Amino acid sequence: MALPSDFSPGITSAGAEQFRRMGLSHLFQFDLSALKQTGQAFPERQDVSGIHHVLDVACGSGEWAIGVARANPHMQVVGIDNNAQLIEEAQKKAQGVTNISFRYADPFDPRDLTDSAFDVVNARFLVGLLPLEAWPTFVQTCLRLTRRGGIVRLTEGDIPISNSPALERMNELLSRALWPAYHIFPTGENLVITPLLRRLLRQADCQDIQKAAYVTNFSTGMQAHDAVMHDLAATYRQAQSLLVLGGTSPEEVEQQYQRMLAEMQADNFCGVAFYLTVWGKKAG
Amino acid sequence: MAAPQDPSSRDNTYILGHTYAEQVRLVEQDRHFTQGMGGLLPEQTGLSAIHRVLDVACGPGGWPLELAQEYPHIQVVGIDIDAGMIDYAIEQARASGLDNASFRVMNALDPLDFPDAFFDLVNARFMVGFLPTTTWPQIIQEFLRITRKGGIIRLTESEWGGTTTSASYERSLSFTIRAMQRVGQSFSPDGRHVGITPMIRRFLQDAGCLNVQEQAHALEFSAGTAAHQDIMQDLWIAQKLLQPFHMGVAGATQQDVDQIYQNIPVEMLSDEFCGILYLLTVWGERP
Repeated sequence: MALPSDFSPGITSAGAEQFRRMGLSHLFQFDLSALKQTGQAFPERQDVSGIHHVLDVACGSGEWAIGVARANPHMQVVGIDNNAQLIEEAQKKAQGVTNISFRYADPFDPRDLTDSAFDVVNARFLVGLLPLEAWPTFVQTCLRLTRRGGIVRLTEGDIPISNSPALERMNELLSRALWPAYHIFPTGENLVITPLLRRLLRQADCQDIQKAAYVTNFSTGMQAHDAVMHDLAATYRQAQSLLVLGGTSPEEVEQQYQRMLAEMQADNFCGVAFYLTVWGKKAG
Repeated sequence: MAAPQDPSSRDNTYILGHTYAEQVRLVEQDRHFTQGMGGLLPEQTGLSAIHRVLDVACGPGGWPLELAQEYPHIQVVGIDIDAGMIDYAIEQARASGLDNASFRVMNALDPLDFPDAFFDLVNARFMVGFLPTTTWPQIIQEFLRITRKGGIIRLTESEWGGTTTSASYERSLSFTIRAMQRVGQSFSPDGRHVGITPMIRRFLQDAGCLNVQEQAHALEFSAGTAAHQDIMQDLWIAQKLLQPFHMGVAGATQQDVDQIYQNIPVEMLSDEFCGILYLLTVWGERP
């Protein structure tokens, strides 16, 4: 039910191995719709003029980082990921944006990045990339890269909630599949990452820890509907091999997947996703 | 009173029942929720144009009493099905010398005894605890009737119980959610959630409300947070009150509910305990 007290350093456990095999990228990116609509990369902050250097860890194909760079010409944004294909994709998308760069690097141990180089180190929707026991080390890595008084900023989401039976079923299969690597999910029915974020920052001695909660409504007719639907479709396409681990047949998973796509396009489809940003200052 | 097993019952459908313990619990809960949400109407601007407010299913009156205290220019009315709750609220208003808060016994499922276009704002929180799924559209229509043109309907709901690292609490939640599904108070297709949060915006839109907006809040009650002890206490009392519902409707055994009741404080008082509850407020204007 709780974090094990003996965190192993580095990503070494069986859970981590399973994670590597999954090869998932970000699980759900519910913050992108709001970023697109408002241009606010740090909606929890009124004044972003003091933020100059931003690192986005495990940036994937770079949507968030590019959004930040576009909306904030005074910032220099760096995105790192260990998926070469995604980095290439990110670089292509960022053509013409001069204040951003993407690099191939181990996002969980970027040795060639200098200490204390960033005002904000940002990490979002990593629950499918990082097993529970690897988080404390990861937060330490983020802190190493943050300047004194700078910010480590974590954003994670809950499983979305909807009135689509097939989407709910896919969500259930996914949380059950992630369960071995997140053994604290008490029932395997929900992701339990957002309640842990504050403690992770506190245990790393971050100061002045704060939080902000957001919701993305992706019901039919809402602005976010199409983007989130495509994100879910891609995520579940990618995760299909994972979803059968619990004993569900590939045929059933495929059938549910197709049903999910149809149900999300129905006029009466309703869905929301809550996500949480927690941030804290590096002491000093 | 135990929760009824007949979903068509027009009587008291509140799943926690109406007892003194629930009254006291709700007073505390109101305080925490208001604090966790950053105020009574944190998202509303232009409160100076709001003079008459209705709070539906107000319980012992925590929210309307605080509103009356903070905004002397607002006349607030609270209604609840339970006379004990209303007596308590009236007594509190009197003791605090609040003459701008009044309370009446009224069943929110019946036509409401107020004139058309009477209120500037109608507030209803956590109706999922007593409202059958099929009744939502009609109750919103009734709210619209008693709200003035341009006035606001404001709904706040949460997925029941939140997300925690306590296995016993999560087990209890699954009984609650299963039972709510059996009595027709769950929107979730598979009974893993209550499924109310995706629906409330749709209800306001379908009723023709304009400028529908929404805002999320997260109430943290992990070990080490300010609300930890108090919310734990609140959830623990709720467990006791939910036992008849779990046993009568969800098929839990005496042993199940005893075990849950014993283990929750142990698990929640652990230094490692983490818990969070997401709340969603949706509001829109009457056309």
